[in-house]
Formats: sequence, structure tokens, C-alpha cells
Amino acid sequence: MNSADIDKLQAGDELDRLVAEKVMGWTYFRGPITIRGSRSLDSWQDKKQKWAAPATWSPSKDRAAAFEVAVKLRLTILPTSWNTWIVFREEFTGNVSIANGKPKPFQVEAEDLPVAICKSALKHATRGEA
Amino acid sequence: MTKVELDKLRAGSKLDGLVSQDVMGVDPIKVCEYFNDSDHDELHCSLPGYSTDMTSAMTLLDELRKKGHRVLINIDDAGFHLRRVAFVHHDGIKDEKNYTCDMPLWTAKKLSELPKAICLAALKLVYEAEQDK
Repeated sequence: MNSADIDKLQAGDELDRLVAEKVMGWTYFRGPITIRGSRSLDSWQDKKQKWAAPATWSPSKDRAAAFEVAVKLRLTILPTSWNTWIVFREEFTGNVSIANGKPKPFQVEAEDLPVAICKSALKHATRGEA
Repeated sequence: MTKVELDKLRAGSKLDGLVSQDVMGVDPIKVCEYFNDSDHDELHCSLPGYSTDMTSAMTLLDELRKKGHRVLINIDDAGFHLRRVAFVHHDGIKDEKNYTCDMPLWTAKKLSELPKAICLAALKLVYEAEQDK
């Protein structure tokens, strides 16, 4: 998966799954099927096979979940005056500037903050992948 | 309200009420039973939990942007740093794509404290903008 592939992703299950697996390092746990047939016991598990998040965890739509991702990768979040969000990863040196034509590492701009966070995190997590 | 006074505010309904009033422009008296209950120092109403809930707190950043203020959130070992974003001017013309962070607003040491820090940063920005008028 390359940067262009990530740019095409939209908020939803696929982006959520990729972030959970590639950024958070979680695996999907299929819980036992209940008598009524629902999968209410499904969840995301961390590397120690401990419960990490509910199966409905949706960082591409929920800002609180997206922030968990931003925290893990220490992303910087910047609102623009043209109603988008710019998310990137950079060590802060006391003064940040966004130079025109010089995007920051893993910089993503999107109207929805959760989408911008997810895509920036995914670009970081998949760096080097063809 | 000074920074010292803001420092004393705890996460809770009183801070939620202040933010509703001074940042969101909603009059909490109209939606709450009491604005300042002297016995409990708390509001009795159902305002959004700006100071405790991340999703609600992030709506403050949207509102600030509408008012022309922008806040950068940066994360490092020390916590979550909120900084005011200022434009860079070239020959007197505001350059929308070149800007710097010129003022630290607030820092939260833990993620759970970030909603409160967003509230306090928002109040600080709004109050300073009023003073500049």
C-alpha cells in the first residue's frame, strides 16, 4: 500500500481496519456466536491478546478514537482557515511553520479530522511499503 | 478572567458553562437550572461535557476557527501542547499557507486532561481577543 492508495481511502470499515491492524498493531478477535446469532463478543485485541477496543472502534469517524491514533504516533494537528485539518508528524521545536509546497512528513489534509489523522498515521505505518 | 483564575478551574459543569457562554455563545442560564449554585459550585443542566469529553471539546476548535482563531495540538513526552497559530505576513499581505505558532496556550499532561486543556485554551484565546479590541 503506497501513499496514493491511502489518499483514495474514505471513512469507513476498510480505513478503520487498516488503522487498527497496521497502526495500532491489533488483531480482530471473533467472539463466540451467541444464541441469537449476534457477534457482540467480537473485539480488537492487542499483541498480548488482551482486549484493546470494541469491534465497532471507528477512528475514521469518531474523534475520540482518532485521537488515540494521534497519541500513539504523536501526530501534530493543525486546523486551517479554509475548513480543513492538516495532520503531520514532526518533532516540535518551539515554532512550527507550514511552507507552501513543502509538506511535512506524512502530511495529510482533509475536511474531517478523523480521516486526516487515520491517513497520516497509515502513511507513517506503511512507509517503505511498495 | 486571568490565567491564574483559569488555572483554578476544574473540569466539570462550571467550566462547561463558561465555555458555552464565552466560546460557543450559548447562554447557560437559559438551559440550566442555576448558573452558579453557591452550595455546590456546579451547574444543574445538560450542557455538553466540553471539559471531560474529547468529542465535545473538539467542537470548540471548530467554533474557534469560525471566530478566526486556530489552535495547533502537538504531542510529545511532556504531554499535549496547545499553541495559537499566527499567520505570516509577506509585504503586508497575509499568507494563508505560511504560519507559525506564536503563543503557548495550555498543556495537558495526560490524554484524559486534554478536553479541559482545550476549554482553558479556548477561554484564554477568546479573553485575549476581547482585550485586544
